[in-house]
Amino acid sequence: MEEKVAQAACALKLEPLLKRKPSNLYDGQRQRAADGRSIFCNARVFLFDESLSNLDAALHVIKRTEIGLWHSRLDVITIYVTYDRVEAMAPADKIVVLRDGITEQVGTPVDLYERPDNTFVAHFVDSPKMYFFTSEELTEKGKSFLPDADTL
Amino acid sequence: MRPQHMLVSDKKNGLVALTPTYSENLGEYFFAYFESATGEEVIAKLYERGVPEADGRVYLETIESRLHRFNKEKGLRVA
Repeated sequence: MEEKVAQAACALKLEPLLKRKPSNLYDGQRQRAADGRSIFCNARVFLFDESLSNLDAALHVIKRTEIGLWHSRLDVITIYVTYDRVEAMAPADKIVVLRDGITEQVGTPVDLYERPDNTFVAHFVDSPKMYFFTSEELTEKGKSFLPDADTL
Repeated sequence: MRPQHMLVSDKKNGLVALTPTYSENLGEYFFAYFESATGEEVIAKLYERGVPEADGRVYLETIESRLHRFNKEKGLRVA
């Protein structure tokens, strides 16, 4: 048991805090301790359902990085649910973009950026944002690029 | 088109025509601000300052692989 605790503490960098009680930990540390309990159970799949939403901005970035490192270190399936596109793009090796429960696109962050399947995904990956031009703004050359579809 | 993929063109070759409103020279590139025909602000990262054509507009293009085409009604990618 001690070995498993040490493994979880190592993965989450909680070793110096092992003697403390959860009530004596800061928010981010407390969350990591909760994550540690999951590791301890040898879970094969981890679900983070907007788990960073209560953290302040600085902790948010740290925790996001930790999840990415943790995911690669433990080699487990990690499903991360978020509405935040940066949070989704940064640690993921595969993203499923959902709208109203319907899958809009599945792919790597680069796939989504380089080749969005539709305007919803193009808007989702909007840093920097993509500009959509109307027929009024397109030149004749611009219009000729859209032979089979209405111009945007 | 994304701001970092826009290139200054001319009336003959440009894909879009935009009215320039302001530009910032940041040394390596310009942040150029435009107003589109529908009144939307468009900000492009350009490596040369766009000189307006006689009609007062700057024409921009992009490389083919960076141009995304979508169906207006359904929003789906075209080709």
